[in-house]
This record gives sequence, C-alpha cells and structure tokens, in this order.
Amino acid sequence: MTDFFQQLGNGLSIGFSYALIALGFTLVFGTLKVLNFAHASVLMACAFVGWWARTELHLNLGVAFLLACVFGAVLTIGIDRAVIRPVVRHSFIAPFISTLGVSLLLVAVAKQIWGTDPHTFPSSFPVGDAHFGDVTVTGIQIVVGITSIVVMLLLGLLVYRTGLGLQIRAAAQNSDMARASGVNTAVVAAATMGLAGVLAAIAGIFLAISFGVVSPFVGDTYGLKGMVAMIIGGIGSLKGAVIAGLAIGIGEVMAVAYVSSTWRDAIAFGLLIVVLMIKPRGLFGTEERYVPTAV
Amino acid sequence: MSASNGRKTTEYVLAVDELEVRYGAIRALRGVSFEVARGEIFAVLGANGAGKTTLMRAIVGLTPIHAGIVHGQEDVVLSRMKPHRISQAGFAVVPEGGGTFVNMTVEDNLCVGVAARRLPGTVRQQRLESVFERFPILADRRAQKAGTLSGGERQLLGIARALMVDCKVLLLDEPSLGLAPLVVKNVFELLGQLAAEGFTILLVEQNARRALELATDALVLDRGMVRKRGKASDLAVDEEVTDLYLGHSASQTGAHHD
Repeated sequence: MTDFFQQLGNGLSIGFSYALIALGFTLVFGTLKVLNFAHASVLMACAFVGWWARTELHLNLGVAFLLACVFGAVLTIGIDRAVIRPVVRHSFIAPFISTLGVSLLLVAVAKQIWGTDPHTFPSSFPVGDAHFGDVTVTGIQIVVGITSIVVMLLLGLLVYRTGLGLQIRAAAQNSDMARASGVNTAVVAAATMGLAGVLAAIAGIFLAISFGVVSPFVGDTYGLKGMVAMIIGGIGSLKGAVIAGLAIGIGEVMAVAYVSSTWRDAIAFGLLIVVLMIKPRGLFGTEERYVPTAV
Repeated sequence: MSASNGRKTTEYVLAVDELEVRYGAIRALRGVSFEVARGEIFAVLGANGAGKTTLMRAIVGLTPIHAGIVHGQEDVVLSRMKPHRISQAGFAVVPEGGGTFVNMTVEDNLCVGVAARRLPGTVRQQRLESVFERFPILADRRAQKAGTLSGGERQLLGIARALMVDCKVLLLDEPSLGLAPLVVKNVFELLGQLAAEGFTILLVEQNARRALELATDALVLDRGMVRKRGKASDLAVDEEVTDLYLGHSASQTGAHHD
C-alpha cells in the first residue's frame, strides 16, 4: 500500500504538468477555435528561457519562473498576431499548418542555439522532502502540486468570476453575438493567448525541474499528451482538461510500476480510445446545441 | 422613389445610404437607402431571402459592406466602425431566436455587455435590478442556463440584454418567429412600450400585418432592393404590398386585383 501511495504522488506530479498543457490547448481551442500546434514548442522555449536565466544569469528559481511566464505570454501572443490572425479568416485549416510551421521553427532554433543534447537544470531546490510514514514526497513535488492547484484555481476564478472571463466565455460561444454586445474580440484573443502562454511556461518549468533536464524535444512527447488530455476531457472544458491530465499522469506511473514500462505511452492513447468510444465529445464536452444565432 | 440625398434636418439616429452588400458574385443588397428617426419604430418587410437579415448584420458591422455608408446619431459613420464600437455607440441587435449564449446563465448573458464596457459593479447591480423589475420571469430564471428558456423568454432576454447596456437603437430580427400568438402579442406590446420610452426600433419582420400596425415607417425589400418605402399606414393599404405580403384577407373587400 505504501508503494501505491508513493506512485500516486509521482503520478499526480507529472499529471499536473499534463493538465496545465491541456488547459492551454483547451482554452485556445475553445475560445478561438484554433488548435495551436506551436503550444508545446512554446513550452520547450520557456523551459530553455528558465534554464538560461538560472545558469547564465544566475537568477533564483522564482525569478526565472516569472521570466519564463512573461516570455511564454509574449511569444504566444506574437504567434497569434503573426501567423494565426492573418490566416484564420481565410481558412479554418490554415492556422493548423502555420502554427505547425512555427513549432518546427522553434525546435530548429533551439537546436541551433543549444544543440540536441539535454542540458541539466540546476537541481538545488529550496524546499525539502516530506515524509508521510514510508511515503516520501519530494520538495519539488510539493511545490509543483501546490503551485498547480493555485494556478488552476486562479484560472477558474478569472474565467468564471471576472468581467474578462465573461467576455472570453461569450466569445467562445458565439463570437458574432459577443462582438455585437460590445466585446472587443481582439482583446479577448490576446488575453486568451497570453494565458495559454503562461500555462505553457509553468508546465515547461515544472517538467524541467521534475526531470532535471531541458532539451529541444521536450515539447514533442508532452505536447501530444496534453492534446490527448484536452480531447479526453472534452474540448473547451477546463475541468475536463485537469481531470484527464491527472488521470493520464497517474495512469502512466501506475502502468510503469505495476505492469511494464513499455506500457507507459499506451495509457494516454488507450484512455483516449476508450473515452471516445463511450463519450464521443469527451468527458465534459458540451453538446453542440444549435439555436438559430444568425444575426 | 429617389435615393436619399443627404440627411434631412430632422433628428435621425440611423441613416443608410446606397448600401450594397455582396456575397461573392451575389449582390445581397443593392442601393438600399432609408432613415430612421429618433423614437420611431421602423419596419423592414420582405419575403425570405429578400436581404432583411443581411441588412441588419451590415448595420451592426457583422457583415462587410461593399458600397454605401451608414450613419448613426450625430453623423457618426457606423460603416467604418468595428462591431464592438457600433455596439458601444448605442446600437443593440436581437437576432432571430434572441441570440442568447445558451450555455451561460441568464445573469451572465445580461452582464456580457456591461463587462465589455468595464462598467462598475454598482451600475451592473442597478441595471440588473431594473431589468429584473421589468421582466420578473428573468429574475426567476437568473441562475438557469439560457438554453433552458422558452422561445419567448429568449426574446425577452435578448431585449433585456440591450437594455442592460443602455442602448439607443434596438434592431430586432423576426422577434415573432416560432412564438405562440399570445407571446407574439406580448413581445409587440413591449416594443410599443419601449418606443414610447424613447428607444428607436428597427424591426425586421415577415409578420407584415402586425409590423405595419406597430411601425410608423416601413420599407419593403425585394431581392436586395427597396421595393416600397413610406408611412406604415400607407403601406398597409398599398395594394401591391397587401397582395404580396399580407395575403388575401388584407383586401377586406375580397375583390380581385388583376
């Protein structure tokens, strides 16, 4: 039983990162109807910015973390302005291709600057490990867990309890009607993309400190898992993204511990297939209810 | 009828001049001109596909305009403004079916415009109270999702949303569509009341008889062009209009028009 709780802690820790990535995907897709394929590469770039701030600028972890968040927000808003806004009105498919291009570009740039070998993320961490009986929770896991929960609560408050959140939700449901009600959708788009960028940065830093490395390829695996978590949770559902992200994280760790490490990557996609067979719109996907909305 | 040549001295809150809208090669609206005076109810009639909805979308900026110009109060040029600016200039649209955000609560629906204008919470509360006082049914349903409301309640919510942002001009697209006759009667009474309170109303309707009873002025759209324009009372007895849009019972004599 001790082992089980140990694994549960480890699973939660990785699951929080999946959940944060899925939240970024689902927020952007739900609101702007764009799947940002560059999201995971932003995560990678932010992890490198954090690493660079730690090793080159010798900043402390908190400052490096904030720097990465600002970088993620600016980069994501920039991607929106440069390659999403200009093409989205012409074709629904175009942003898929253009953001995929940006994703490849970011990875290529990272490889050019930092090479393809993983870099060690400074391991000194201000919080010590905690012991509950025989179960050890590392300081990193404690901080990742608490910060993730706080970030998710803040995101929930922002979306469901503020005027900006109300505008984001209105634009997500019916962009035309939101505009005709006075909502500046350009502001909503920038806010949404900025939030997604911050979420990518947080996940990027968490993965970097959890595994102690950064590499240009970190986005590949985690980005895909985050996207799977978004779909399992139901596109546009914040609650679904969190639950699915945590489920994948825990499922993977359990599979490795009790079955075999070769099963690790089968968990996310196995869950995806099972959930979509039972609920084609994901766990919390809203049914599309078309009420005449033509103005 | 000649095209309008500039605005007259009367107080107009909406002036549409030689408006043209195209969807690809199709000209959905051609040379549409009319003016709506403050506090009046102006009806836009026409068959399905005549361009009524397009006209409404073009005025509030949701459909791009090809040619022509739309003025608001004090000669503001609406046709150069983004939809959210037009909304903030006092124009509110209630599309077919009420245009509610079905997955949001009634209260959230009401507050979208207030949030977009960054109005303080005290103003929001004050306006919510006055809207709930006018529409007690919405107060009862304030925590319910808008998607659970009946068709008539959605119309009310659409209109209530416009009142929340203190609009000057209310544009309604087919408010009677799909509603029971008694509910239609209530909605039309409400529109009359609002006009009496000083709201200007542009009413797009297929229910021509009712619309002409309520409106002061009206125009008839036919395949994107203005077919008739004038006093609602004149149009109501115009033979061409009664034949085309009011059906047989309108010609009360039952005589044949050849």
